[in-house]
Amino acid sequence: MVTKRNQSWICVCLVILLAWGILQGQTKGSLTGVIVDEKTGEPVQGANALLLGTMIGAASDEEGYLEITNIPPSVYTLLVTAIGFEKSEAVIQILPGKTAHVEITLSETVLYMDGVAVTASRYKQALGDIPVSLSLLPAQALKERNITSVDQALRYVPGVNATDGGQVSIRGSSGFNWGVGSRVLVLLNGNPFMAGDLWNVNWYAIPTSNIRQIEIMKGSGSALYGSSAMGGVINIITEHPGEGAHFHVRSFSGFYNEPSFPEWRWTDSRQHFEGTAIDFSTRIGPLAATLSSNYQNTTGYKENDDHQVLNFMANIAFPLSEKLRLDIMSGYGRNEGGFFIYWQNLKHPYDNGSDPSGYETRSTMNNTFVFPVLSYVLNNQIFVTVKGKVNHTYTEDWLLSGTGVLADSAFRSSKVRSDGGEIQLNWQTHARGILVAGCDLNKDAVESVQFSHTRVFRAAYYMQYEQRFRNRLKATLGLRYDWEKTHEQGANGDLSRKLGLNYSLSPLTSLRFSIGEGFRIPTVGERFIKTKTSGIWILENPSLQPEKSLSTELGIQSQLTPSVHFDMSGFYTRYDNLIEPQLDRNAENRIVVRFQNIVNARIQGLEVSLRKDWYSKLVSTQVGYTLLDTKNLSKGSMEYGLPLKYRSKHTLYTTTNIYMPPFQIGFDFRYLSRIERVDTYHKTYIADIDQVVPAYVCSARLGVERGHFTFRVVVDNIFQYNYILSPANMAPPRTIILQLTADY
Amino acid sequence: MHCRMTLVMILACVVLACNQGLTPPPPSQVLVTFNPAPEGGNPVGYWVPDEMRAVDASLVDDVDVDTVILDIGLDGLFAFETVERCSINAVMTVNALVRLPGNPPIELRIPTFYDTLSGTGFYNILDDRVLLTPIQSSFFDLDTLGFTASAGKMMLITPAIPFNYMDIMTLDVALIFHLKLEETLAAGAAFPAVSLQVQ
Repeated sequence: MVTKRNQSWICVCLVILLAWGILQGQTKGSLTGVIVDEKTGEPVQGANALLLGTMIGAASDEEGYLEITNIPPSVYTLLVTAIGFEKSEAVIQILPGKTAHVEITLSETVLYMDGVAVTASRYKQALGDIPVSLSLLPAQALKERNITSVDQALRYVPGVNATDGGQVSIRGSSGFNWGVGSRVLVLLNGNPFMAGDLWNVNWYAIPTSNIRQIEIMKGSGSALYGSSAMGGVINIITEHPGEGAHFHVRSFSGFYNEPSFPEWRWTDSRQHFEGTAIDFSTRIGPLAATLSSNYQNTTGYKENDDHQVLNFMANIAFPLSEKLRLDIMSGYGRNEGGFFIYWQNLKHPYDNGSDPSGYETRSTMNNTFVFPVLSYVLNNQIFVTVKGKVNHTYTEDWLLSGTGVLADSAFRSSKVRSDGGEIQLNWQTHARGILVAGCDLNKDAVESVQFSHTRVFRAAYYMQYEQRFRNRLKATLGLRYDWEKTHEQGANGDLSRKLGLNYSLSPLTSLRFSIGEGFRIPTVGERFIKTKTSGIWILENPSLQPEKSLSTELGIQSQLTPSVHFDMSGFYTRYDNLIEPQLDRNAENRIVVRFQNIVNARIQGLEVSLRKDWYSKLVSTQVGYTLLDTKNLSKGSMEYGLPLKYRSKHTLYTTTNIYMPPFQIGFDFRYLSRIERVDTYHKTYIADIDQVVPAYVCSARLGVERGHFTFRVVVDNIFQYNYILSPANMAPPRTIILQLTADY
Repeated sequence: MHCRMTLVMILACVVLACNQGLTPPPPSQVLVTFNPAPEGGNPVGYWVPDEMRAVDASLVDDVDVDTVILDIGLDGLFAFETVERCSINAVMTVNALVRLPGNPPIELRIPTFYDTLSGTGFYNILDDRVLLTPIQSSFFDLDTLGFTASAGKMMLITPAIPFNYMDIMTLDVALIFHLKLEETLAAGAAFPAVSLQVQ
């Protein structure tokens, strides 16, 4: 809870910072530059130039020219990044009333771009400037692996685990909870993209073909983003309209291998999938637009696991004046198909065990969203963004008998209307200081068969200030106050604080440290659920309290040699009041399940990633290893001192890319050690849920590029290894995919 | 250096290719024996646990333990229709205590665990005495049950089931569910429970 004293303290801090910024006002300088391709000498269009440690930047035009005005005098490092090129840095001095000029040459690379990220501080920053661990997943990684849902792509990021139901966990923040109550916040271009009832992510509504990069921030982000960011933040950045006319088509088709053992076969037909993605960008006068649409049909590789997914997304940018711009991102997604939750048993792992024998649950999910953003650039130091949010979801499950007769219509359905808005101020208070502050409002209206009818109102105020000292040390201080009100529980609030430090040991090596608080408000689903599954009632618990966490991290990143990049971090998180489903008794003394605040825990570990380039960067290898040491600290519990459930202690990812024009070859390997514990509550109704093995998964891909066309063959799970992606849920067998793309 | 790395990768691939991960469990015993022997009858009806005697448990083999106490509660409904459709929804609560020989004896208490017996679909009757059911359970194999039904009472008899004691030992136990035709159900009634002490 935040007292009035704390609120006053926040106001005083803001006033002091604003006053300090005003006092720092000075006569400004300018910068011009030209960016060219080192090999061809041609100008590079759309390169991002950023003065490190500031929000000041620009993109190069068709002539490779860029201009930045109103720069506070100081010495800066200019970072230039562009897709397909290595990043480049230059030190420049800006003098009062003068214009500095730079010429930057970029060399081509097949490697994934180091780039810049916006998630850590709500403005663009170089990765080396960020006080927390942050991984980037570029669009190329999605295309090469034929990724059709973002959660599939996250399986290739060190420290991240994505289960079959779309639940994402960063550094063990979640075990397995059927996707309910995510401890990782997912953003779409900075807008929270969580369903208001279960606080899970509707991955099906996001076209993957239009993604520019995915930013994965590890560790608590609640001080900037609020509830659910206690385990980390995933920000999906789409292509920005206006970056050139573009037409892209990707069509793919593939099939699943038969199960490894004859007794596991559940169908005589070949299970397959196919899909098409289309992206179109254009400019009509001042208006720039990008339209994307993805369609996918799959029979699934398990019983009652077929799906048809369709989504659209439109991004429109309309400059209203030189300083005012309107961006509208809107979309619609629909996912219709079967609902396989868990297997029958290990004798029949591809047979649906979650429905009564002879029946199957079918499901339809719809998601419609509109996120308008109005950006006003007051000057090079201050800009304001006003965001709106309309995100409506509707899900419905019904039960079919084996003969296709409707046995129970809409026995689960949930309609959620999440509406809100946000105002954000970014202010370069002086050459070495940046203030980001804002507030957001949100209302979730839930009308549901299983979660009842509920309204949740939320408001939050946040502020983050960054100060650079002598170009070597950067300190970040963040505060956020979240307030929530429901009819059933009244109002309550939480304050989250964060401190981050970043120290440059040398131009190629930096240390980082952060400590931050996190929290997660119980979801509507966890508080108000009332449904029956597998013969057991799951009942409401409106008195659930928020989960809390305290995370610390110490890390180092270094460019050891021009071809070796190294990153290592140690982390520790203490969790309190974690919510988990537990067996309980109702008023009639019958056994039921309720979500309860019962678990205190700590998770500590180590994460190492290494990238090595070979043969003049024609070959690149990346290795990521994560060690998780988890412990239940719930005093009085029989589980005290035991590892947390559904976590792998060791995970290892390796990726090798070979570029031999016109061929592109890639290999992936993933290892997850055997999960140490499963939930006894799950064991009571899921047969063989404790049958788990380590995961060793190898995949390979081969691409041939000819002109506008690229043809790819992707083979996932080459060795047909039988493992689980989530409890009692077999991962896909060997999968062969053929893909053809055309770019104009 | 590169040759060695290539060799390591080839070896790793061979090892991975030989490892299949999860495999089907070994096939269950074909010949099923029940103790006591089922006598058959007419299983059609809506059956609920008999309050006086819900579940019996008996050790199938002699074992080197002083005492085994299984306290088993059962709550739910077993429905068998004439068209050979059935629906089972029940929860079994098991408390177990084992005393191993020693001076003093070592007492092992297993935390209470719950098992849901559920299944909807068709059942078959074999040899007039054995029910093949779609009942699913986490701990016990319950798809094959002997039965004896007469005078509004029914016994469902499992074959020998391996019962695991905290991964220390496994004992073969036979469970006998005592059911009665549903008449009235007292609201809020506690689980009917029985205790069996083997010494």
